[in-house]
Amino acid sequence: MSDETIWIKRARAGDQEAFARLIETYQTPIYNLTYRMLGDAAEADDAAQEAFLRAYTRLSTYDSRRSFKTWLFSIASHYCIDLLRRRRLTWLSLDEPLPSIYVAALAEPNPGPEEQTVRGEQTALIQRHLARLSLEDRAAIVMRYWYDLSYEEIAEVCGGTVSAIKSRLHRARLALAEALVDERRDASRRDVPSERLHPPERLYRMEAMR
Amino acid sequence: MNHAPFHEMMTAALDAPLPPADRAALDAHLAECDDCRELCEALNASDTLLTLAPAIPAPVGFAERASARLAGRASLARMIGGGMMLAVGTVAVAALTINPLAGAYGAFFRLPTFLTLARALLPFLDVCRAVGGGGWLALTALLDWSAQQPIVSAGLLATLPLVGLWAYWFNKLSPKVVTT
Repeated sequence: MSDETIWIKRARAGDQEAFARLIETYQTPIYNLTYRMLGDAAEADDAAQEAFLRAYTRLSTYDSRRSFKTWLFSIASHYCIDLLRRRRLTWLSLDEPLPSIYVAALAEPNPGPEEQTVRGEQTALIQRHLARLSLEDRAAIVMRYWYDLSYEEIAEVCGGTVSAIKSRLHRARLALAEALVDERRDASRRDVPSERLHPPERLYRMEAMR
Repeated sequence: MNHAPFHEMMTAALDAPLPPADRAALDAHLAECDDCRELCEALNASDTLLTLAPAIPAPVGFAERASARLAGRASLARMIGGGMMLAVGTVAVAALTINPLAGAYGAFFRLPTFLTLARALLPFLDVCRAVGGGGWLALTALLDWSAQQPIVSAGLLATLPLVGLWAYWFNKLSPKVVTT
């Protein structure tokens, strides 16, 4: 029996310390998910905590044959979608900076000054593009890229059929690419230095220099 | 010209290599369609951007704060449950105290006995008495002895479900030990 299975079993019986172990294990995946969905560090922190609380109170409904991680993702992503629908969270304009995102980027372990800047820019770019997607498409993209889930697993987390997830990802990827095209065209009109238009290539260089 | 099939090939190529025929068709199309080529480049750039994006780590102290919040919420639930348990327990104890109180009351004031109520409410007891005098005598003696005061019997009967309910809540709220 794995440690995780033991912690789940104990947490189900009311052992909060065992559940604390599960929180420690999954805090970054869940926080990253809520952050990517909500785009705000404080909101993401609160939503991730609430997702864990909901998971604890619903532990009796968890089917141990399923992956605990995808079950947690399902709770967190649905909570974020509900939150955004309920609060009608106002997304920042595409032209405005996202200060909290830069703060989050600074939390990376041991980044150099230039890498900090690049990562901050890239995080802001990603969030701007994610914000253009529908909530369901955004959740599917986050599951695909940050957690490398299969179509079947994404369908399990987000709900829906595998073919629906495929078409959702197709639509979302096209929307993200179009956002990038628009941004590049807009930046070239505003005469922004060319190196700021291609952040992925810059990151490639930085990864290669390590 | 319908570009949608080529768009589908472009996004499909992000997950797995295309079949050779599709790859050739897509390459041929990209060679002559500037818009699709630009979109394809953006798709790849966007894919790279997302693939390389690191997970944002949870803020320092997140796990501790989440655990504390969980403990706070659990203690609130426990407090509400405990309050309900206390209320039910109080009612149960009150029901139990009816017994001696009613007995003391009955020592000074005459209360209707179960027998008199039975006589008034259940005429068939007369038939029973007619059929079996001995059995009836034994029965009346027993009723007189054990159910001298009907209000006491009612109190004791009411106590049983209340104590059961209290035990259920107590069991539900108590932490359980899991052996591994």
